[in-house]
Amino acid sequence: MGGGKKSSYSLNHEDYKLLEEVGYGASATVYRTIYLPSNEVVAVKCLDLDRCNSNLDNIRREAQTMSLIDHPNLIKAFCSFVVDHYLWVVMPFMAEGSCLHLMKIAYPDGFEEAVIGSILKETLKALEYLHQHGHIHRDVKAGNILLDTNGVVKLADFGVSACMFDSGDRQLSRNTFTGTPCWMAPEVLQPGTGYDFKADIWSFGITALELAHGHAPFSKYPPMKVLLMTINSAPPGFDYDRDKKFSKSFKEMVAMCLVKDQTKRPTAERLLKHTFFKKVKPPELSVKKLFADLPSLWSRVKTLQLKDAAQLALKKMPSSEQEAISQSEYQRGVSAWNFDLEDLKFQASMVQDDDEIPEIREEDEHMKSYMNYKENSVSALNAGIPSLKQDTFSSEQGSVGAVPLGELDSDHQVEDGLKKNSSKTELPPLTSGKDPMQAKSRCQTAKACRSQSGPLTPGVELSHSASERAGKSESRSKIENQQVEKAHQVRRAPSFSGPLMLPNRASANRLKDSSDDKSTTNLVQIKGRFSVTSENVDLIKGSQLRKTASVGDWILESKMLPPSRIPKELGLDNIPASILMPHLQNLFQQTSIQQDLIVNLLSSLQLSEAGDASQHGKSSPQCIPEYNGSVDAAVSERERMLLVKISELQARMSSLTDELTTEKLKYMQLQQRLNGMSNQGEDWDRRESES
Amino acid sequence: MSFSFLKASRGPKTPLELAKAVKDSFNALDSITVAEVKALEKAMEEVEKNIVAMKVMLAGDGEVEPNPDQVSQLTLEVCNEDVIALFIHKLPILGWEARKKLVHCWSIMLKQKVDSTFCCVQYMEKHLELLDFLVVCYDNKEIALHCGGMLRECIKLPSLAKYILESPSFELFFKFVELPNFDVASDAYSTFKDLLTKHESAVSQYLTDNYTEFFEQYEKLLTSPNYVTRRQSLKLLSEFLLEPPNSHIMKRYIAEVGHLKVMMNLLKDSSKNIQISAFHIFKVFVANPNKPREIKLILAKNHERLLALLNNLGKGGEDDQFEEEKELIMKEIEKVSRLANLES
Repeated sequence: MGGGKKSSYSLNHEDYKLLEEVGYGASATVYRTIYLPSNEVVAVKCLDLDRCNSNLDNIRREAQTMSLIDHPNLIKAFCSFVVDHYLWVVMPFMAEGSCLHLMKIAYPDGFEEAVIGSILKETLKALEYLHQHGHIHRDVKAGNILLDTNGVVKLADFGVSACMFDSGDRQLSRNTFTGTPCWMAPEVLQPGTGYDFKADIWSFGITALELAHGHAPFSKYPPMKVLLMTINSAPPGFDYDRDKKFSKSFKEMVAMCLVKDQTKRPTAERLLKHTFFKKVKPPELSVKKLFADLPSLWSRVKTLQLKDAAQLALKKMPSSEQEAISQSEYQRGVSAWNFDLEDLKFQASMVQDDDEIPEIREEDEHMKSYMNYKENSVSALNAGIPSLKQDTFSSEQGSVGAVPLGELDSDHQVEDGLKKNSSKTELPPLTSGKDPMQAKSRCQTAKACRSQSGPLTPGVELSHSASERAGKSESRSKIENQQVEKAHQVRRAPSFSGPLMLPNRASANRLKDSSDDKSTTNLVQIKGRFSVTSENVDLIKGSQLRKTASVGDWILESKMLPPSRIPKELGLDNIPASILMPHLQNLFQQTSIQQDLIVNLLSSLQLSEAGDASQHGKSSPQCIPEYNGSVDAAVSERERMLLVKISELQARMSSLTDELTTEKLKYMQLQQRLNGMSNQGEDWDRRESES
Repeated sequence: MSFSFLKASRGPKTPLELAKAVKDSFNALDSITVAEVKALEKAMEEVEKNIVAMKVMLAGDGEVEPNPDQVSQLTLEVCNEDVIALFIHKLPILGWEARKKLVHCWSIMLKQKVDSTFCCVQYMEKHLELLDFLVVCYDNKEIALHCGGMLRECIKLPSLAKYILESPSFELFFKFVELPNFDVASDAYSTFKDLLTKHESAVSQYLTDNYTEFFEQYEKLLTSPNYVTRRQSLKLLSEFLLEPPNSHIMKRYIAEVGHLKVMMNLLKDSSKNIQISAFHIFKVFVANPNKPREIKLILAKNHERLLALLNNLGKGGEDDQFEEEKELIMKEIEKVSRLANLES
């Protein structure tokens, strides 16, 4: 077998003539290469070792492992040697590149099931082999599944990119690669746990979805958001409506992989016996036809590179540049992980430091006042209910690392229970300007439960500017992430050192659970709410990439974002101009942060009402009426304050209109509508408080 | 695999029978057989079949758990029948997968306690030349990684590690870690590192006894033109030199001008990573309260360049502790440079 073959390649770099780039990444570039002594085509991966911080242990270990593996579905290193501070790894050349490249070039919406089946089966065989030999791949994804012209499928990149696990050089890593943990299993993202071979099975399931849709479920979100979604949301999966073309056994197989409890995931060996893989054709038959009429791999890569460059050039703002980089990293299939939670947090906190654009400074200012506000409210809370504070805070701390299991579990249960209804109650799009407002107000009574359903309207058409918007809204949300984080820091300054956004989530979960148990009047709203985390994720996934991105903001931050639905709806309806969107979104995300605060307060209040009921325990029904009353009062109080903020921000916005002369008219229209709506909101609140 | 397994289980062998069969089949790989293609093929088939049977008995087959009694018996028998020596000597002849399986079996048996003794370890202690054989295998890239794996299993045990440290073959590692094959060199480096860090007292003893020779060799690694060698050896140096049991070695090391010069050169290395690692050893030279006069002289002579260099070191992203240390070291260098009595 392959064992003896590697000796036939020399260790002299002069014997290798590097040709076109066929893959490139943060610290490694892969070249199509002629091995001169035999005139053979190989691939050479040049890895810049000096870009790898701390020590080279990982790279060493992987080099050893890579030489010891031998399986037809695994890329084996023929040999590797050091050239200056580069490590050259000589590998077989896979003429059609990665599945990811192929999808980007020719199959943006994913492959057919027959093709996916073949690719997945070959990949799974490789995983079975690795696991049997005690190895974990750690980076299963479409970008690492390589195809050859004859249809041969091989799993690649056996951790040669391991240096990206490092966290040493943050500045550098932040600027050059911002990976997303899309393929990472929930348990991997929790500190204190590492890679079990079952984590590969999760990644395998994500990869299946990636091949089916053309992109990984959470691929368009910033890393932090993906991290939180993976931990907190229901596992991604197929959508009932959009994915009708896929067979039941395929869906079932994927669902088996994407179980949060890793002990319940099947082994690779067992998964191979699944009925889905029984009927799969050999890749020589199904995969080969994919490449018909496609240009050569290197020209494809070149095209993608140019696209990236154009994309980068388009983005003028530093923050969007970052986003663009991270997106292009994704598109290239770069193995750009950043496994370090600290690092992710650090990245988030860095975003603001670097961005010099005025509007962000504005946000900054605004944040200050907001934080004060938040501080005040929390201290008020503290004064009132010290024991509650304890409870809330300690659980928040816990949740930064590991969300208490119970919460996750109950999350599941609720979601499962509601799944059936959710897609139906959910789907009617709230397109008119009025609807969202109503939803918003409803969300107050429902304790901010309802609001997420709005943006998830599937019917919205995508304009050209949608992608622009997507990028920007994403960067916005990134900033927002970090603002929320900041707010937390302020709030919990004495005891808290590394806040993530999880606290919100945790408390929201709590809220979620108890509201579920409470009364049937709330149930409709809750349904709407939960559909976001379960069904709608699928729904979004099924839609186009860009849309995913623009809608994306909602999913994770649903609890904090409710009112921002308004500009989105408007924007999708009226404005082709992408320039306006960020500002509007910006504005409303501010509000949404405040909304978040309300949710936090509510959950705290709720806890106090529930007495010593546990986080997931049922609160006694008797509590509800008075509970609702007090909450409503508090809400309308806060709401008024929020509306003041909104109008404040709107004032700022009008100054920006000068820069936006071409779009001015439309902008004015919009603003008017916004004003109208906030008035409505105020009206409503008044009514609400009166009642 | 399943095919061979069925074959093996047709006549379920007892551990004794299996050990005997393994021995016979390995012995069949003699020089005459190896020279003849057909005969070798057949003999190899037999060997591989037996290795698979052994692996199933030792590690189970994924469904059936291994029987502890059988494991013990097989281990004991393999030792008593001198099969271990056969394993090691015949390893180069075996095929790729067979080698891997054999290494797997080997590491299970090595850890196997039979009647309160580790009979495999005892066997190795009685046949230490086998360890030398394994070390030399690094020169054969076909089996280097397999032998390296076996070797690292062995040196988990202090007695065996001590033997290699003090054996002449240890010196070979200075060559192996620089082999052009990155995977082999990496494996050798892993073993080298384990040898120098796993068993403190043995290492301390070895370094005391072989101080001059060892550091002479080690300096070659630190000044190697190979980037990876420089970077790894520097890192490893701080890992064993700065360990408490080796403090006497460290004191001796930092009193020598030659070593300081090497570190100062590494501070100027083109690689930032190397510079930072070098700093972590360089700082000990400077922080030494009993700096010899020669050391002070060099620091004083170069203080301007040193300060400029340190000032730029680790810009962007090093932690607070690093910055603090840097500050201290820079102050100390300034202090040394102002000592008037050095200038005479």
